Amino acid sequence: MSTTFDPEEIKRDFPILQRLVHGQPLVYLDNAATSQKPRVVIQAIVDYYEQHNANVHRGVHTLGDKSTQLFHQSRRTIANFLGAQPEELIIVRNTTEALNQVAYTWGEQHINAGDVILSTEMEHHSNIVPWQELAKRKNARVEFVAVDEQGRLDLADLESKIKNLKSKIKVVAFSHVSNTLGTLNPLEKIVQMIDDTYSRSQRPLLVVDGAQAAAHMPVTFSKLKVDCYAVSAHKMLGPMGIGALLVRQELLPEWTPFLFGGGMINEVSTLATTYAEDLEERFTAGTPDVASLVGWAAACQYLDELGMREFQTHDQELVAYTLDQLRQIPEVTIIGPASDRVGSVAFIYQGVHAHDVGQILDSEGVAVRSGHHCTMPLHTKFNWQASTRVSFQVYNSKADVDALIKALKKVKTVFQ
Amino acid sequence: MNDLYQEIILEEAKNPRNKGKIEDADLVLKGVNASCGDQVTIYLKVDAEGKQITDISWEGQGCAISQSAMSVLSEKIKSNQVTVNQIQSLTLTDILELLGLETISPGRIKCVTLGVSTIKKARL
Repeated sequence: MSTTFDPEEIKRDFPILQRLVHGQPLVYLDNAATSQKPRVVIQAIVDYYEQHNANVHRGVHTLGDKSTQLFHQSRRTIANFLGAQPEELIIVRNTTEALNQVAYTWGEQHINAGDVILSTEMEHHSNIVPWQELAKRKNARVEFVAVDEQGRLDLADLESKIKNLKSKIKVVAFSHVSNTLGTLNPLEKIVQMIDDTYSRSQRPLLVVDGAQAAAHMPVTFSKLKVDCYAVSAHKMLGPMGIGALLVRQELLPEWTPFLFGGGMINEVSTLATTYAEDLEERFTAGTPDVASLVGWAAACQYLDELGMREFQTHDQELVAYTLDQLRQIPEVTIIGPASDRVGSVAFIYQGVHAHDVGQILDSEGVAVRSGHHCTMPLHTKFNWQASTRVSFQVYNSKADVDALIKALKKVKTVFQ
Repeated sequence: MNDLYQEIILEEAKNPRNKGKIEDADLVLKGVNASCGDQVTIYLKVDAEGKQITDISWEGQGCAISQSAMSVLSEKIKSNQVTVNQIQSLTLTDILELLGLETISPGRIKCVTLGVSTIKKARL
């Protein structure tokens, strides 16, 4: 295995990166929205459907056995990649569904009138709206930890909210890495603050949106000391439509599932039903998306072979390089912190709307995201109408950033 | 793309027409594209019978496409003695024509139609 991280070589593993856009080589910098898929992932899904497809569990035939085996093997690979036990992995469609899962299971059981759910101003809507809806159902309320001018969580505000609202706070929900600002939140410090304030039995449920973090840095769930961690496969080279909620093993036995039906039961009669003791089955009602699970496991293996630590170092170099290059364009204002930043750089181009910037970049083959990136409260707070975000994956290189900078010059030409 | 940012759009976006507020407007209509945050507020004066639009102005924020589309729409209404009922028959194609475009990519349709879908809220 080579010791240097070579994105140009990695690019060859991704069929879509070979295509042209408007006659130009595709420079894909919209990875925080979704990543591209390597050939091994696409092939794993094709192989599954061409060779092994059958429903899992209890089918006494060769394909059923193979499919069940692939299902469990993939679960183990994914759990292992994220530093969790297979029993801690609840399979869902995406991060949004994972966070809803927490609200509809633990939340329905534990939130009462007058309780407080603590979120933050930098959250993706998926870590805000499920809590607002839960609060509505329970007559509870959601409070938001402030974001400071540098785009970091205001830890003093978090501390004062914890002190003032102490026993009312039942959930603390925050992102590991912000999808808009790129901010790497000080997860350990936050956990420490919570542990210094609450006894073990009074501790609020700590829920982390790990969609961006798991896609850009090594994550070891067992070491994070949080209760729930939500991820999406499609942001980490896996297929769309599959993701996971990791839940600490000690907590799960008392959770009542919120999706009921096939696969998750122990015994069903017309009078009463008991639920599967096996936690891997209990929260997976209905036929699971085995093909996507197999694809996701292939993505984890691919990333493992490249090395998440090596990728993290590469990502940090790209972020630093992009910040440097963008600072040299007078019309550009970078949003978010100058350090402790992971996976993306967002900016505002003075005088030109982000959608117009995005469209002109597209004409040069450069794909970025424009808009509010599902963080409207954050954009409203800082009075940003919309921003342009470039975000990275294993296959991005400094040459991609150079292509972005070159394409940005065209914005000036068109909108002079 | 080079076909998209044509003179009309860039010019109208830079120097939008009929922009401002009519203090004593008979109708104030607001529209927003939730997915991108573009917004317009349209002010209308109508005649005594409430049929004929006698004056129009607008305020708004957004991309060059949404703002230039609103600009040309307001100018068409102002210079053509349009009735409130006639507004209802305006289409995407009408606005594209005003902008000198033949087509628009699916992702930008909502930009083009923000103004026209907002003004269609006019009901008397």
